[in-house]
Amino acid sequence: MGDDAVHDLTAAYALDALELEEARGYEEHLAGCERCREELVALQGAAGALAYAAPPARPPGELRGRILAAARAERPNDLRSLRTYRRRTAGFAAVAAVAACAVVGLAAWNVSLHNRLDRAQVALRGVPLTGAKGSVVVSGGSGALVVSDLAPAPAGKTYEAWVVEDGRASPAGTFAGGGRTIVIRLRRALPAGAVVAVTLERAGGAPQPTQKPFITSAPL
Amino acid sequence: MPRALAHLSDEAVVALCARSDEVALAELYDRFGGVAYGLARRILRDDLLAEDAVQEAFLAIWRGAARFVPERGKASTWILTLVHRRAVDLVRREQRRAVEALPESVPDLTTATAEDELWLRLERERVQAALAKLPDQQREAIELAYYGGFTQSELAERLGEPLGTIKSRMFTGLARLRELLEGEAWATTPFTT
Repeated sequence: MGDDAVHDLTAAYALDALELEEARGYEEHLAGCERCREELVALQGAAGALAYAAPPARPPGELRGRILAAARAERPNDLRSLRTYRRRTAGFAAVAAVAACAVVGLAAWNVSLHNRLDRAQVALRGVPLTGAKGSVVVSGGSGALVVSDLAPAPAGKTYEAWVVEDGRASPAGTFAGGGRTIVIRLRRALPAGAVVAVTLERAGGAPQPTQKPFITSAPL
Repeated sequence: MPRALAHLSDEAVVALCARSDEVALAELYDRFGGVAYGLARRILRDDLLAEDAVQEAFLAIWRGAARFVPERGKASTWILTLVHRRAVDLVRREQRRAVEALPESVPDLTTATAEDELWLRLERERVQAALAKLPDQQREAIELAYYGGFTQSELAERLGEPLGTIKSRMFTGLARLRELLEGEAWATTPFTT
């Protein structure tokens, strides 16, 4: 690359403002360009400082424990299934890591083995499903639905998850299905005794289920 | 709980992370979790997506700690870059790039000590002051790229300017921001003393 075109991308790269392909191209260029590497260190420092100017917000208390539990699930108990799992699920990597344990059959998996971190203790439970292969992974009052071999929703339709408590269903997120194993973060608190259910709804989801669920969990 | 590693530099804590020390990961979360969440929330405008971004970023830190090279920049920059990248990836995937107002949140960090909190506030004011000194067009390009998750091509289209103009605004603005930030005496981290 003889001209300045690639060098020019340093600021945009530092701001994560390149398309994926441009970013890959720049990274290749970076390996052989000392000038860009130095410039990038400087500009990335300034870009990183911008993080502090964002409005401060309090992360939910459980997030810390979830991250530590997921990290622990990856190492040192590096399950082989975990790696292929991670590759397939770009999002929800951490829940996926936890869920992988449920998928490989650890119905009750307590991570209090290392209790050096008393604040980080989180009990994770897998609750079985009927109607599909998979489970609901529960951690504290929140959780994820893990389903294997679910056909993609037909055009114009979406799958919708529900948390059903005392006969009342609350929407907990829509998803498209497909893929070997998918992990759907449930966007709704999971009270003890509630049931997680899935229906097929019109694209965009419904406020209330319009059909009988074809997947249901055991009571949580 | 007392923070056993509170006296170590960010770089040293990352090095411990590379050796699978969970206490080190917890320490990094206590130092950067609040800033990370605030940033992710600013970009994603959604609390749950922000949690996902922060979670993915900290797992990327856990997996990648062994590859962190202190010569290529500070640990804080590396960490916040990972957080930013995850948040931007998610916002592009979710197509959530709206410019509506952000819901108010309690400006409070559960794990932060009074000292940490004060430092964060000063740091925020310092960066905001530096941003305010940039010419409007440079600040706009940087803010839309960094907090909005827009690519340079999208910015050129949105602002109706040639791509070259956008590139140069981002470059000049970021270089100037760096000068402004480095122009003041400041502690690199509140935890090293």
